[in-house]
Amino acid sequence: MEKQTIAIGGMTCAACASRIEKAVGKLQGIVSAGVNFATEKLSVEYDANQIALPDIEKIIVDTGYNVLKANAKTSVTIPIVGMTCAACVSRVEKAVSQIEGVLSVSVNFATEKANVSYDPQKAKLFSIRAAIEDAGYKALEVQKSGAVDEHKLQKEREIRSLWRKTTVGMVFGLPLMYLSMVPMIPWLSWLPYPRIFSPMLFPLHFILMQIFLCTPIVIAGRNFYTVGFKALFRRSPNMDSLIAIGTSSAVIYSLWRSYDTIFNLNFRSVDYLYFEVAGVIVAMVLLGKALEAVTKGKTSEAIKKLMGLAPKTATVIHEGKEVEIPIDEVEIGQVILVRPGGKIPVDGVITEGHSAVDESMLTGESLPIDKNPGDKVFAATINKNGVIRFEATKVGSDTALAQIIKLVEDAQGSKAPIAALGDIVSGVFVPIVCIIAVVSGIAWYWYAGNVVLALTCFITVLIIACPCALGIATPTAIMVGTGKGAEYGILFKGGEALETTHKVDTIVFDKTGTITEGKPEVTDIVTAAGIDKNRLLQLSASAEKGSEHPLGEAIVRKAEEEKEEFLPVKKFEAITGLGIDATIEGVHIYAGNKKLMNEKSIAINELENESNRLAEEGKTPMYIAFDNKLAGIIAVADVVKKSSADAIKILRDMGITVAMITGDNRKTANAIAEQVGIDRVLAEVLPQDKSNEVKKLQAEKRKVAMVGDGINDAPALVQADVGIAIGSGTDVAIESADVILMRSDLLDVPTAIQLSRSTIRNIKQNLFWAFAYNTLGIPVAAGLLLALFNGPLLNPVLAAAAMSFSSVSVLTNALRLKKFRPKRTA
Amino acid sequence: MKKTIGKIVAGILMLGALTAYSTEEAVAALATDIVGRVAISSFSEMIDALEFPPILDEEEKLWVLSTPDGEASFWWRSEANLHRHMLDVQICFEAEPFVNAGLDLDKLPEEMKGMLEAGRLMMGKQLSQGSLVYAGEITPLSSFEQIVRLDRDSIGYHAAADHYKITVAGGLSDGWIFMWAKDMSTNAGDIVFALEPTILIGAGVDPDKVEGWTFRKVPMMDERGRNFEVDKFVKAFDLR
Repeated sequence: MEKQTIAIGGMTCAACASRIEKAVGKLQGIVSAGVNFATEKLSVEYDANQIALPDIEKIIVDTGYNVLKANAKTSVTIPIVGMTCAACVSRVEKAVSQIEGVLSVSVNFATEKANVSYDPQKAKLFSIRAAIEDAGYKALEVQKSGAVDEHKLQKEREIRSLWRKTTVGMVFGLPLMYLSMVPMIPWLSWLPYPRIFSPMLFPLHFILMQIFLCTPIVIAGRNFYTVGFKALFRRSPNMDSLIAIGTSSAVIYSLWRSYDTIFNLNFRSVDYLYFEVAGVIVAMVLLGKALEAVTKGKTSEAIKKLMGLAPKTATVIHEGKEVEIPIDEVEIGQVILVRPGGKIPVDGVITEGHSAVDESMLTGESLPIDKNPGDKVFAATINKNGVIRFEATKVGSDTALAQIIKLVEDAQGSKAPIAALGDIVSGVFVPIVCIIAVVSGIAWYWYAGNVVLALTCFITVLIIACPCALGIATPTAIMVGTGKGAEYGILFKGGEALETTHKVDTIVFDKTGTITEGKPEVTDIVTAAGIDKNRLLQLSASAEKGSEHPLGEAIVRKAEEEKEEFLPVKKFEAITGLGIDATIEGVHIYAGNKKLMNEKSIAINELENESNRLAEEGKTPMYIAFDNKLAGIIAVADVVKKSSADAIKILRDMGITVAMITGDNRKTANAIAEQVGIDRVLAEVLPQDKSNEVKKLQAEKRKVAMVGDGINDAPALVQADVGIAIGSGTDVAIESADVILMRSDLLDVPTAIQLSRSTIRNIKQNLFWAFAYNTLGIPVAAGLLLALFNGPLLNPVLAAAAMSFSSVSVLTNALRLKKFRPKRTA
Repeated sequence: MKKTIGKIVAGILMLGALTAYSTEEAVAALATDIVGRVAISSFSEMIDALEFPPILDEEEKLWVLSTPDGEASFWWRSEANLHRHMLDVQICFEAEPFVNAGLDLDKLPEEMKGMLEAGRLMMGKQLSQGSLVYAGEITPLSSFEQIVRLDRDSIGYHAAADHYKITVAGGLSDGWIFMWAKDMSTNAGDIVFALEPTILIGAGVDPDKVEGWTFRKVPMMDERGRNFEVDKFVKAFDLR
């Protein structure tokens, strides 16, 4: 299966998004297709054996939209020394232009600079500089310029264009509204009015003025007509269709009345001009669209912040010299130099030097971490105090930063289940609105015999019912919510995860590495009669040397501290959830929990009291048996994280049941639970049974979140309604989870839930206003109040203003999420 | 961008200045003044339909258009007003119906009593003193054309009633008004005299007792196109 994200241009409302989803979804080989109207991107999963990407792009184009290619190109200005005449110019140009991937080259003899545009995928700056040098000139240090993202540029152009059109709309719309409305509104009679446009004295002037002022606005809004009518003719009307039908009806009717005035000399027709309605509606919608585009841009600021973390260049060691190259040109295996205060450009492994590295931007850990040769470094982190050289191991889209950005981008582009309602409604909304508009128009004409009243209702229903607010209600909140999460080091893998998290009423924490630091230490060594303490430690540590279990590692560390010699292991077997089975120097060793001893029928009575005492102190007693006879107990204790108790208190205050799951014995588990304030303990649970425990909780109709870090937590993370992996955990746990906490701080768990609750509350507010606006607006626009209570009829201009600002208000509400502050103290 | 907006704003300001300083005469001369043009053509149709065409008062140099019953008349100038005391447009009407309805003549302003010796009351005004330009013979229509040319603001059109009007006193939208139908084939009142009742009622007239005149609400439109209703003494005639 292939997954692709395609940037789409030309969408104007949620109906467009739903249309593309339908068109693409119908293709054979498509597994899933979801369009995010806010990001204007299609996320599609497909079987590459059945369908190719160009086929998908073709159907998008056939449906009436554009596929925007993220065609990146880079431009550089290279100062050149040694050019003496115009011939040198053409020589340099020829040399550079022959390199594959160079799109254009222009050498200015006067400034002695070459401007080169090239595709960084095909051409490298090195080769360009080398070509200049080979031609006999000296290429000086490159003057940098940024990579150009066509999609981003297109969005910027679109916003500029929208503002330009809005300006035209406002410059012509305001005088149009003034000149056409002031004569009609008695309480505005104090306002000055040019006599030459008096509708009674000079109706033709009045008409020409309106046409003169309305025409540029209609031209500025021509996209509504080209897109709207095209969609209408395809029998799939969208928001533009509503505006196009509504305003064209107003213009056509006004033109007919103008004709009647001018050529039939029926001056009464001058009372029935609606040019200002069309003009002001278009101007208002343009203004709304411009504000919407700007506000939409703000919803993705989190991604921009993340992207801004990466440095633009890297200093590589090339043939023993330091060379600064664009970050895009760094290749795996290159050695990179970073001085104190510098940002690490790509992921890698330190080969030389020592330093402390600030990784707070990735992990949230505020203290710099000491780094030595062999340690990993990550892109965007900051080298604090030493010069280091490291070998690049991951570049471009493979770096940890790029992965995080991709994760956030994917989440922002994904849909939450709550969006489905909006999608369904907006899909059928426009045709229904068209029907309501026609029916109300006909009904009023039939009932009142008044063309103007009928036309007003027809236009107003079309204008007020534009479902744009409905389309952006969910995705914008998801974008801001996931972006805000990224700021706090909480990565939601998708809209669904963000939505489900708010429903969580039970949280199950893994103990080791989640509630505790995950770095247990040996605290007590208790021996059975006749067993030497050092011998017990030596044999146990030698046996555990091959184990990856944190408890085993603690014993190994203790033996190292005690400078015990590790003995060769003849046989080793890990018994999942129980312990290990090993043979050393002919001694058959079992090391593990009480269950293991029971299973192997090894009597533990001799040390049971000691074991209980240790467990009650929150320590984990590990039984050691030599040749099927109890040899002693090595107790290991893990330190509880500083924030665990606070996090659990906050969660309980939020009304969430907190449980702890561990393979540890019950007494130890209870002791830890007591320390952090957990009242429900699932102890002595084998790794393979963790998911069953989660299932049992789910069977109690609970929405369960599982928080864990280890490989053994993965099944439970998948089983839980929301799997939360902590960032210090294993790749498997992170892969299995729905939410990733980049830090190992449990306070991020309540933060994630609070953020999810805030986001969903925000979405519900948005949906409420979007629905309420349309469900209340349409009957009023259709004249229901007038029919029932002789109440007011909605003015089409006010409808346009309300419609435009409904989208802006929904977006503004979504942006309020940016002010989200979690409660992080108990 | 800023330049474009600047040009647009400058254009609108120029247009505004042009309209603010345009003279009535210049405006009336525009080919786009369709109301002015139709005012002349409909006035022509109206006087053609009169049983007794307008006559010239040689002494006052005013054209006189009388109602079929002879009880009211509309007067307009044929030559430049050489004597500054003269009115250029006026409405005259028989005083008797109003006296019978309680009118105390002493309470009327002097300007209304200029023709009282002939048993008539009058109300009128002077027009602008621009030069009257006749290309040919002086006729009732050519004299009316001079009013349209020089005093375009005195001529109005009321869409709801489909009437043209000339105000002889008061504002264009309200006052003492002579109206004629834009299209006599569709309009019941081809000529209408509408008297402002305030002065008359103030001088003792019981509006319900004035014979030959109807006291009623009349729909009006101001020059901005706003509709409203006012009380008037009305005398209307269908000429066809």
